[in-house]
Amino acid sequence: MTYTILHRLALGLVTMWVVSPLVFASTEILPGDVAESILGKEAPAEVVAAMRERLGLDRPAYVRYWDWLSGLLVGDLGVSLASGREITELISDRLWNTVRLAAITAVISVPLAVILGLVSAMKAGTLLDRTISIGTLCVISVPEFFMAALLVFVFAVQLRWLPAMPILRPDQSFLSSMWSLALPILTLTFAVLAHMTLMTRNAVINVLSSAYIEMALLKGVPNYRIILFHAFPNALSPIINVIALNLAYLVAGVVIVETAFSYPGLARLMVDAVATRDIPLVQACGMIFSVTYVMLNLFADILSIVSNPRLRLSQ
Amino acid sequence: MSHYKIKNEISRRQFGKVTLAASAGAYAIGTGLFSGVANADTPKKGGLVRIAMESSSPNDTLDPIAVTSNIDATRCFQLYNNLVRMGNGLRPEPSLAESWESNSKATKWTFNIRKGVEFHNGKPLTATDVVYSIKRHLGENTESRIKSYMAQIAEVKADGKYTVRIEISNPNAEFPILFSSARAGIIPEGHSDFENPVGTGPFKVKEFRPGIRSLFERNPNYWRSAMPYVDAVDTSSIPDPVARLNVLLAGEIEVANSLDAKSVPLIKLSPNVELIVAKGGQMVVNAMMLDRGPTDNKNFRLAMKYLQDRKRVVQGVYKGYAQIGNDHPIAPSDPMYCADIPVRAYDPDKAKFHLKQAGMEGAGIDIYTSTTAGPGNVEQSLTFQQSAAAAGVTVQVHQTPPEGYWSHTWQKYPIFGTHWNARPTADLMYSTTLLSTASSNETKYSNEKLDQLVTQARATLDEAKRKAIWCDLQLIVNEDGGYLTSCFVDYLHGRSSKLKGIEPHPMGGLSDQFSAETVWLES
Repeated sequence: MTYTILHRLALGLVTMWVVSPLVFASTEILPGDVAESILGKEAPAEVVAAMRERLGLDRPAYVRYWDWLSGLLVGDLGVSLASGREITELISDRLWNTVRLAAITAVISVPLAVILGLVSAMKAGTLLDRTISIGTLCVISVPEFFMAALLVFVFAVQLRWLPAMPILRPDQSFLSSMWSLALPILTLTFAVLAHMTLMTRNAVINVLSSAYIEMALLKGVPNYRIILFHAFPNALSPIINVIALNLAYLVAGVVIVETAFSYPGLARLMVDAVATRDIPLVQACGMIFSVTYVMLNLFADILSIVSNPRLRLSQ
Repeated sequence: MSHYKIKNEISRRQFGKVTLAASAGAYAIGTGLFSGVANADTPKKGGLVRIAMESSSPNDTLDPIAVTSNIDATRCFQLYNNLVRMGNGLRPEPSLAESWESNSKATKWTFNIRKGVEFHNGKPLTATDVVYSIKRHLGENTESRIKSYMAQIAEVKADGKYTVRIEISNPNAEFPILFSSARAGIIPEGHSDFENPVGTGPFKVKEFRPGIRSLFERNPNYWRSAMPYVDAVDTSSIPDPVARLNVLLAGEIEVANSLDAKSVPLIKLSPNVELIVAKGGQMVVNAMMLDRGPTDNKNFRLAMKYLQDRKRVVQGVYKGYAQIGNDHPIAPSDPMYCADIPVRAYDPDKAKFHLKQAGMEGAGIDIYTSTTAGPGNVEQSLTFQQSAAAAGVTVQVHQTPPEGYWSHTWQKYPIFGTHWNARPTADLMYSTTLLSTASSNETKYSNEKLDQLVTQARATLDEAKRKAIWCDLQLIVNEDGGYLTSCFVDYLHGRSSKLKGIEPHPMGGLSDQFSAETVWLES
């Protein structure tokens, strides 16, 4: 098993290495650069050229890539071109905000999805099952920016129950930050719920059709025990995978939610950085998102190996 | 509902009177404000004003010379004062300079600095602070965003404690207006730490997180008596216009800037939110380049100008929130606007005539535009397509990607969409876009007579005479230039009905309208 895990880790590192030129190249093909975006369209050409030279943008792409990569390897993310600040310093607060939003959403949405999935599986084919399936599918089908606007309109503008704009202050208590994050959390929960619920439901139903479940049934094991102790553990592997995917989505795919709620997280920092063509900052955010994706998938792989005796003992 | 609305209308009108009285009183007398005003409209002290703007980024700055965005400008107006304030009627008003005068040639200027003004750190304001602040804009290596305009200053020096003398290289009757820019805020001599900025403005820094928010608290020693009324002002950004409006409707902010004309009906339905309409010189137009065909042909350009249905653009695209333009970059709200030049009417027959003259009947025309080429530019171009069809002219509207529009489309095609924010003076608009030496001469217009007239206007101190020269300047561009100026688009903002004392400013985002200096909150 140790070998399998090490093998996966190595693969993860290779993936990261493959991702780095992709992140770099995709920022290279953005039209315009930071000098143009800071100086505006009125700036004379020689002023723009002088700024490019000062920022080192006139060097060939492969030189800049090598500089960037060698910095990355020693944990140096570089300096933001637009503000001249250390990127590590710019990112740390924002990353914490995004992780906090993702973590709270995960803590709420994962158990909720699993419970809804199990209930659906137990009551498969009933009205309740169909309501859960259709309900979760409906909320995932609404685009997030629209869902965000809709929730704000109903809960903040009309009913005035929840705040429309999350305001985070360092001195805030946990409860009050939860309160101000309520709508972004709800929007994100809606976005990830359907996947996990339906996967739990289908995986459990799948297992329910196997012979040993029939055996358990014939022995007279109660329904809830069959689901919780016989079927669910055997359905865990695909469920963990889909949960990991959705968690990765929570961290990396929150661009729209952070923008819609003007939430000061990493994704919005990245959007702002793209607008000012602050390439090192975009690259740093891009790499962090990639690392998160790879790490969570790796973690899911390892967890499903651990939870599955067949995989666990095969090596 | 209707009852509420009526009540609102009345109070809004009264409020207009008060703010007029307030600004007149403050600048002319300085004391004894509001003595004749009914109690209900007396500014109340206290409270927090929250302002949400369209964009902010990690490179937000509080260094006035480095201001790039509207949010930077707003924050600088909250923290700093200028020598001169740009009035709401686009005329310079005294601020830190109590008065100014020039020699008869408009080359030597004297500014008399207000006495008794204190910086946030308690240091009294003197002429040397002003000289230091101005000198930061001068020299080869300055990072000033208005370097090219400040370059006209040949010499600046303090003469005694409260007089600053400035010599400029060429006559410029409107020179003092330069100091009303958000980038020309006055800081204490020697100050260079903009993590901890010091100004004389109505508010001082309490908290500043670039790209997230700023919280500034009341300056208790502010030189304009009783102002500011509110305890603190919080400025942040909500990039999405729908979200910005929603947060305003939810009552969590008091001001949302830059709203879409499409959301006006929703604002009108909401009793707790009011619209701020600022009529100014915001240009959202299509430009024709004179250095290439077919737009180098004057008859062709005239035909294009006659094909604009200006009223339809104003009503259809901007729901009435725009001023009719006359194919030059000066808006009717500008003091130099020449009302004597008749606005060119929509006339397909004349257009056909000019096309025939140009030998281009039935020509196909391509317009390149994008959503970044100013609000409503694409819709304007589509409206143009419709009105041109009446003259048998086929217009193709090509939408290019908004990303990088200013490098891949702007000035690359004979007709393209362009966007200019309001400039403080007609001179600055022409200096940016129409002088043959202008850095952004996007229509590639070059006319010696125009260059001469601008120089002549600068040397003319008498305003009536200057305006006559400006009439000629507008006529030249109206007839010969490359601009299809159907209209000037209003700046639309929203405010909570509880917030009083904001007056719309024609300069839009770079004005001091959100300095929060004059506002108060009604409970």
